[in-house]
Amino acid sequence: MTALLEVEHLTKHFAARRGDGVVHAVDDISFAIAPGETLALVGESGCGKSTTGRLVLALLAPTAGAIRFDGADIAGRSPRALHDLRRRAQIVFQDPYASFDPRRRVGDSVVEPLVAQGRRAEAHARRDELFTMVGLDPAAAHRYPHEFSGGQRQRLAIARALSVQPDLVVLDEPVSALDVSIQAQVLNLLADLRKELGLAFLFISHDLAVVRHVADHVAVMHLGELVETAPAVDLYANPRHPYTRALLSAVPDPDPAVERARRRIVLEGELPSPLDPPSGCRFRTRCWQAVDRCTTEVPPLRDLASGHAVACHLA
Amino acid sequence: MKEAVLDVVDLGVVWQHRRGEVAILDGVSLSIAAGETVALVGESGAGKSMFALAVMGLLPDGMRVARGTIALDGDELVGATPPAIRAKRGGQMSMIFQDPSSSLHPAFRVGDQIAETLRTHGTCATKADARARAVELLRLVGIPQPDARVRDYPHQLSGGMRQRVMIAMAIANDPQLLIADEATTALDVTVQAQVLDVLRGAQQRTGAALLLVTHDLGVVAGIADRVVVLYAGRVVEEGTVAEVLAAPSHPYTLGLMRAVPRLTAIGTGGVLPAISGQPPNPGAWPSGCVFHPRCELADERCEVEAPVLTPFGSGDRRAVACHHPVTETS
Repeated sequence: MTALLEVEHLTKHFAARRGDGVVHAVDDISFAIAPGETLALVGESGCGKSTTGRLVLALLAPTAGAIRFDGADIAGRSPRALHDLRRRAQIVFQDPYASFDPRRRVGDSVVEPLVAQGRRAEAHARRDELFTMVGLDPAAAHRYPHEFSGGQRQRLAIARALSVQPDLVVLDEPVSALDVSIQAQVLNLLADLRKELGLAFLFISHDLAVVRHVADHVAVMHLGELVETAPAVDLYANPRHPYTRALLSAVPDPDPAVERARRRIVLEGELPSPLDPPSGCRFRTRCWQAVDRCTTEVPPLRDLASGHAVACHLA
Repeated sequence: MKEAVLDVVDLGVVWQHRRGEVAILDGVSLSIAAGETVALVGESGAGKSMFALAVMGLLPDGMRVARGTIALDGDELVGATPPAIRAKRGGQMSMIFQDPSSSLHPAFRVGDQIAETLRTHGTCATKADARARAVELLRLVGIPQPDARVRDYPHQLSGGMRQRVMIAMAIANDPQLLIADEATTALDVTVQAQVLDVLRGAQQRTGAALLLVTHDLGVVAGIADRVVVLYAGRVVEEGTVAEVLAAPSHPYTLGLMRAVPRLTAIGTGGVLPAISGQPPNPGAWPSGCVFHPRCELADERCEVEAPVLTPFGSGDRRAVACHHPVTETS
């Protein structure tokens, strides 16, 4: 099957605000998403996962590397190519408060992508359907964002992303700002929509418990690089990179018996600065298994078995 | 039972606005003994942060304590004069907030900010003493090279390190009561675990009573002794963490436990058992049991008659406010 989205050797460097330093936000990462598939990109804050999401949608220009959507390279970014991309790929952001114009009726905001695509007539016709699709009353279309709760606003953001019938939706921490009871509702909604519409998701999250629930494939990102990618079932059953193991061991469980028996891997030190990443393996300064080789030699991401790849000399 | 450090009885907080009053907390009682950790759990708008602010005497403009008592080590805080409360705040009681970058002054070195609280409460008589003690405190909360870091400004530290500074400042005067309001929510999981360790260590060293305000049941399961579940300004369930989280008796607590995505769940994907509807806003609390519109077990009685928090089961101070408490979990 051909991939819907193919990312190869993608790199994004930003110039540091002061001096002539370079922020290594994303460094030489490759992954692919098949139609209808959910790939989760996980990692701590500052690891480059949101930057990757923006690169994929051509909201940022890459420093190097290729991004192919349905076989066509979007790196050229001709207006025509971008217009087509916007119809087929959309995004939902973490903060539903910040992603709506407070002075516009939500009904207008939800169909705005259609209007931007020059499909105004369709916009009017589809509005009610979009509201119903995400579990909101179409009569609420004339209201303003402040009249909705966080969970409802995230439903609106999802409706807006779906208005143009995309094939891929980038979900950037879509449930992180929501309460537990609402988070479950939105995750269920996303699962239903995905099944119904055959959507592919790039699901960006720091929460491995949430990711376990939604992802087919997981890519673990650390300081701009992918350190492990695997089918979700494999990754959770058999994490191979020490960083993945540490992340998984840090997730608390609400069952007190489970939680108090949990054996945690405590990482020493802090995430190094992306301005000056460590030589060799970028995780070595926090790794309890690091050997001399990790300082001098960059571990390549190599396939261990059936799609489970890891970037570690010791795995 | 040990004497309570914090003893709050029947606390009612209201928000006064142009068109009248809105209840924010409705009859919340909670006590914490020395060395004990109590978690106050609830979703946005349940009133958990307002409870913490009421105890600290820091309620925002327009909010006030309408009824009830708040005793800190036997001293009544409701109706106490502002100077009297100020003398306790940062000394006998202190609080750590969610966002350390907005709680620290950006233009002062962290060491000086810690030293200030030491000097204000008379713990250190001289500047030199206070400086030395600040270094010691930074070492206690696990900040590497504390004698160098003490001269850093907040922006030079990471989020996790800033939260450690906040903890250092909060325990500087050996408070009897330590309140942490979503203190680890903004941190990455790996850092969250470290900061919780520091918090627990600080509490053990000082023997303080710890009130943990959080929405994260995983954090509660890890470090709290008892848990108080708040919904729409009322306590719906309380008891030891082992009892309440292992076998919730209020349908809301049970719903929350089921809705949390977990690493240990069997299989992936599938439907998460969500609670339908959403938490009500203050001012729009339902009649009868505040949870009834979202409850699967609700009947006519729940719509009209508010259940009273009553002892439940054989547990230690286990109580539930429900007409149809769940007695076993599937």
